[in-house]
Amino acid sequence: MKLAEVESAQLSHLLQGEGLIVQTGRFTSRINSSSENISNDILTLYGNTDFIESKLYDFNVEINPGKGLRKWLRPQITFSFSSIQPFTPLPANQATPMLEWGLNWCVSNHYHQNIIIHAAVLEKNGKALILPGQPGAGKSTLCAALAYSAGFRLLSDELTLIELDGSKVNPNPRPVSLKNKSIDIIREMVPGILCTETVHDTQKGSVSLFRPADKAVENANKPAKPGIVLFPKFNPDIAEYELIEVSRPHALVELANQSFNYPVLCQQGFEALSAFIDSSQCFRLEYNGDLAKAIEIIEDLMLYE
Amino acid sequence: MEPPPRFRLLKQPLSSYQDGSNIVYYLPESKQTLMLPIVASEILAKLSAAFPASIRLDSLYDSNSSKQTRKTVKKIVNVFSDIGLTEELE
Repeated sequence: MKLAEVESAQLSHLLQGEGLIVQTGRFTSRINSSSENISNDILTLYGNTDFIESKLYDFNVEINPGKGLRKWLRPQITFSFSSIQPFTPLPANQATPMLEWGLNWCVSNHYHQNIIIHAAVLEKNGKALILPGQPGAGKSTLCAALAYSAGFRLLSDELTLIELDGSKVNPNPRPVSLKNKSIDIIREMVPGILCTETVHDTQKGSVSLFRPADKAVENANKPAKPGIVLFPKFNPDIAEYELIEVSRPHALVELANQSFNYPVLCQQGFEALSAFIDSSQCFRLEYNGDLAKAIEIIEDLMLYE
Repeated sequence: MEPPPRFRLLKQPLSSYQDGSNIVYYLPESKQTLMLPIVASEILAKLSAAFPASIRLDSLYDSNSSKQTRKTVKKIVNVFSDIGLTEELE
């Protein structure tokens, strides 16, 4: 049975009581919440995952309204992981983005069986396409366009999980987080796409979360082999696009800089990245926002041997 | 005229990755990742071969090396010193 088939009263009961166990990508999370919006948003974002009746889970998280005066005056929301609050509270309407950011934090701080890169990752024909990028580089927009309109399988829009022998990328398909103008671009590109209402004035601007496609969720245990590492850069001032090959040592250093747990894994992390980079082709794509052109270029790159 | 400075290897970086142009070292103590021109691997090999003895800077390049190459070698040896791989002897 899928989560979307569970009666909403039962979901609310679980969320407010013993906790709802949700398949959040590669991991299972026990979510406890008395926040009003969370239940509907979980259905929107995770409705195509299996309803889990087992009591086993990887992460135990709570997302609850603030206490005391913060329940009433400029209401706030708190995220807890096994009773630890790693973040300062946020305005109450940011409950769902905070849950997603919190789940990312759980993975990047606790899962060291893989090296984790801050990058979107997709798959086509068995090969991984990794899109690392600083905020504003356009990686999430490109990732969403590829996942929702170009037949790529989403592995993750935020955390790339690479095996320590560098041989494969493990999926962690979770909702795609889009910001600001990207939200309407993807909503227009894919009419009827399932997403949460836009939350404005977050620390990242306006945010909406998009449900991963069924194909991504159903293949959550199917890894991809190394393929292309593409560093995107959105630049509205260029006439068209610029594609250049990046040397593997340069790419290795950039991936190391964008890894969450490289300082934890140390030499093991370096060797994982070295092995992974050795089997990948690396490029930098500067594009002016023409997603159709960017997709065309990427599809050709994926044929590159 | 002062004699060229001498350098001695203190420790080896643990791992490296290279292509034809660059080499990336992983330095376990500082957990740093450092990319240098590929000539760094030759310099490191010469310093290793001389270990535990020191080696004169001018032994790290050929007598017919260009001024630019000499500058690059000096820069790399300085980087090695900065990150604690080598020490400069008086």
